[in-house]
Amino acid sequence: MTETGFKVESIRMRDCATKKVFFQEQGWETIKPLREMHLEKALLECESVATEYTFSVDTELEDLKLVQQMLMMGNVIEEFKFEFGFAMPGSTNSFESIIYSAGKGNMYPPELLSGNLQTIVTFVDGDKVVGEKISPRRKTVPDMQEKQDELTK
Amino acid sequence: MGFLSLFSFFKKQEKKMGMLVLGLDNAGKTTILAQLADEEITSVAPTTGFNVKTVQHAGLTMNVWDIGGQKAIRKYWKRYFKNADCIIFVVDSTDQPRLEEAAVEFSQLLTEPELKGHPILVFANKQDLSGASTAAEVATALDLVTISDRPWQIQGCSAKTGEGIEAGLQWLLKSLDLPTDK
Repeated sequence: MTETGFKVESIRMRDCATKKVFFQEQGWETIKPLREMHLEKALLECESVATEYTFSVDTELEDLKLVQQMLMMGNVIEEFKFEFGFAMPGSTNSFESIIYSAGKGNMYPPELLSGNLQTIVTFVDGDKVVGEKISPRRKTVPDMQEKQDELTK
Repeated sequence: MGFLSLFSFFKKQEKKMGMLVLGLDNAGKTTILAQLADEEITSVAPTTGFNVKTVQHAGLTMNVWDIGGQKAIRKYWKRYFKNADCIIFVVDSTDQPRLEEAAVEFSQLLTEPELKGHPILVFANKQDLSGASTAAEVATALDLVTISDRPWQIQGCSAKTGEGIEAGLQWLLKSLDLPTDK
């Protein structure tokens, strides 16, 4: 929570083709590493993924923007920006964007991504950061689910 | 160029088009947005701000802005006009007592300089409910026939079942004279 009362309420990712929601997180701080690890594999198999952010503000914002960066070993490999502009006082808002798979052969192999991929999501009003989230470096373990299944047997 | 990438955030081709979905509260704007994004329809809470979705249709990418319609926040609609290439105005066809209020808001939009010449599609929503006014009746209430400075269309629809949504969207895309895949 910042002085503008900016707060991310939830983040949701879904496969556009099947509409299946495979990741949902309430609030800004909660990170569930195991689910995220498994998520990467699922993500890489989708042709397109829709990510929805729901966020609220107390006081109005004049120049709100979202900046989403993907980092490989600390280097930005993808950057996406979206300008909202005005956000109403006391409002809850949502934004959903679609990302497309670069296609087989054009993507980093999962082995390389494993443990090296980070996402940074930043909400900015003018040049002032109102909300930021940095995910941990994620591990991609394709047979994670199988291993988990074995462990729980 | 030889670099591998993770995702391409946008298909490279196009300028993204902006659509603004406006109308009184409880008209069904957020449900129409969900239909346009091909999402499952669930119950929605009243919108107190905006919902914006990137929607793919016939090879085009559109940013569709659904802005809350409660009376107290209608004064903020104009803050979003710059995002619009066209307007979707949604009317609850079963809410006859507020048709006049809808007509007042609608006629105000037509006078906005920032929206000058923008095509406007009116959805006469909730046609699946008994007691709904017909699209023609809604057109009369909004006095659509007097509009001469822009393309306009009235389309009966049900945001709940999806009926009529596609037809309305097709008209809008055609009125914007954009190249499509189909």
